[in-house]
Amino acid sequence: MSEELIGKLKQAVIDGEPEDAEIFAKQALDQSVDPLDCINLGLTPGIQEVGELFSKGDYYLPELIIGADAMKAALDILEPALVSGQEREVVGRVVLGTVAGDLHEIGKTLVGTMLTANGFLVTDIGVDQNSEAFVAAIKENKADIVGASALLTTTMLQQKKLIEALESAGIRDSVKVMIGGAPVTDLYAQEIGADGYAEDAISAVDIAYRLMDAPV
Amino acid sequence: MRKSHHSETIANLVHESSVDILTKVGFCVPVDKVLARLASAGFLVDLESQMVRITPDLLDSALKTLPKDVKIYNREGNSLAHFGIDACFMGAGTPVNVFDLNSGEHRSSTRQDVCQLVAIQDALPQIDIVRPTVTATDQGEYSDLVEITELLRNTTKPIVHRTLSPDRVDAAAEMLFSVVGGEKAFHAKPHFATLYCPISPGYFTPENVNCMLKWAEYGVPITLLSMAMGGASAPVTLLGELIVINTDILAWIVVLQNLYPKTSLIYGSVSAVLDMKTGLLPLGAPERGMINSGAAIMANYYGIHSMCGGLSTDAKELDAQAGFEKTNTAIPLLQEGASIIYGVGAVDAGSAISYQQMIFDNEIIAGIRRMWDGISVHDIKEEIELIKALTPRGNFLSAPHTLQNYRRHWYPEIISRDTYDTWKEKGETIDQICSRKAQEIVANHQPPPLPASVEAEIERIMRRFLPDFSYEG
Repeated sequence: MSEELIGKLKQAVIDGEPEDAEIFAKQALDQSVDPLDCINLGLTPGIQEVGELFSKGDYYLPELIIGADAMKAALDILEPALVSGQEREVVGRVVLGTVAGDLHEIGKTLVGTMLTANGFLVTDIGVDQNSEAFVAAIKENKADIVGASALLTTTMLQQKKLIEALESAGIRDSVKVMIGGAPVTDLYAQEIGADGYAEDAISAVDIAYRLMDAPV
Repeated sequence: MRKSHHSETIANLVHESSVDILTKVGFCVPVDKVLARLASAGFLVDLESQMVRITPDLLDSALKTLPKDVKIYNREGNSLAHFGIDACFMGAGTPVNVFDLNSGEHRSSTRQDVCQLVAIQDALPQIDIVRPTVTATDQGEYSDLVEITELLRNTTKPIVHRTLSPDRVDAAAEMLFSVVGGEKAFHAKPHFATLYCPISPGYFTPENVNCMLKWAEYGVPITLLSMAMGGASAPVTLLGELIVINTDILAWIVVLQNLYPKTSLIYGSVSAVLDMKTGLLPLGAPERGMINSGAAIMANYYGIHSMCGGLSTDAKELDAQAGFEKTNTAIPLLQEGASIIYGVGAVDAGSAISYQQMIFDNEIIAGIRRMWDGISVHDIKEEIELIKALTPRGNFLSAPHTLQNYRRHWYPEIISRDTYDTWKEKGETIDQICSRKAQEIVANHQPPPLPASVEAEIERIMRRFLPDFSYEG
């Protein structure tokens, strides 16, 4: 019974069916299937397969995003049911947001989805977030990586301010900084002392793996 | 202007959809002071959500006061003759990267690039309207004002730019007015239009709202420039995306005409469709030309001018891809009667400017313009007589008619029509020819200078923001 439900959870992620994923997650809890098994044997292999299909070019972004949504729908039900000490394995913890003065959301959210689909635990703090909000979220989530997005030539400067704020808060050494956004370049990332720059959401995953010293 | 057989169907469908959205859901105006003004002007305002809806009356009065047949002028007061008749071409902009003219290095753009790229646009005959095309990233916070000074000093052609925040619209307007002899002279013959982009769907930032209203107070033409991304900030279908584009623009046509009746407005779109394999926004895609041709359709429907993103490419160098994409993203805009085609000089999905591409774009435009003439219908008496006289096996090369008419056809300046041997002997690639031409213009082209008194006035205005401002940068 548990194997069948775990298989269904995996398939719901691959097929991109958030509503099914939610139903199967609830059924699993009703039938006392271990939520950690549901995650590690169902959702994780499911999203990995979605990622592979994407890499092969069979899936495009819409399939990837709905797969990640299905995973999230199930996780929202399963994670609260984990007993203390149980924790799902993640590649790393990421805090993600768009910098102060900038309301552009789509690119940043896409990076979040790509990272989630590749095993990261992502906390998205939204748009127009000042350095204090980033620092607070990094501390609260014990983030390994912070990702700051800026789409405007005028708001790029906030990425530099964030790095300065991390230094003043004394947490610069404990968190890796990734920056991105249309006007941002590798050179700019180096100039302001960021650890990584990704020119698109797909390469962001490689950079994040590299920053975690995890195998790509 | 020419129209496709679909254009009327599309225009009616899209307009009705926009009116439905604007009367039922509306759009967000995130500035409380403006919300209050809109409420007293009769808009349906929800102060808490900052959402604004229009009424049929407001729409009617806006479409009545919206100026038609607007002309644009150069710094010397001459109107751009073919504006509104045939498509005009405008510099792209404004990314923060440039391919260095001499080394080809991909680097941050500077004030010197703005100065040189403006002078090149001034010199190139196919470019009608000039933009800074890149950001002067070495000029810090007031780069927008510095860029305007370089536009004023390095070209006499009509110019288009914007300010980054409302606090400097006064200064920008003063400078723009000073070069033509005051505000009255500007209003009679505007040589400048500004542009602002919404965040689709249904939102302009507070800075952009305040900038637009400030420019409207000065009676300066404003371009409402949608940057919708199909599949991300708008529906993925072209018709669905066009509804978002139109709704965002129509909303502000209604706002600006009701608050500042008779403000000249340009219907703009530099929209595109998201690439679902990468999440990037390809600007060389066929869909780029297709979606922005929709903006031309809608602008013609409202009877105003359009500014449409095209002549675009994702190529990083002057290659086959660049030639293919540049041409193919311009053609649909001509087909639907776009007033301004916006993209000269841009490469790499608009994220950089290439001097060489700018030179080659001039060549592409010349070729496209010739093609767009089509087969002209004229009195053919002379041709008939000639054919009769020379049939059979006659030679038209020596006929006076040939001498009188051959120059109607296009003769390229860069593209090679040489034989293999001649081409080999010349040994210069298109890229090298374009580099050489750009370098020659930079070295030799001298746009007519501003009077010393005007330069002094601009300097005085600029020093309110930048105490060290000088023309030597």
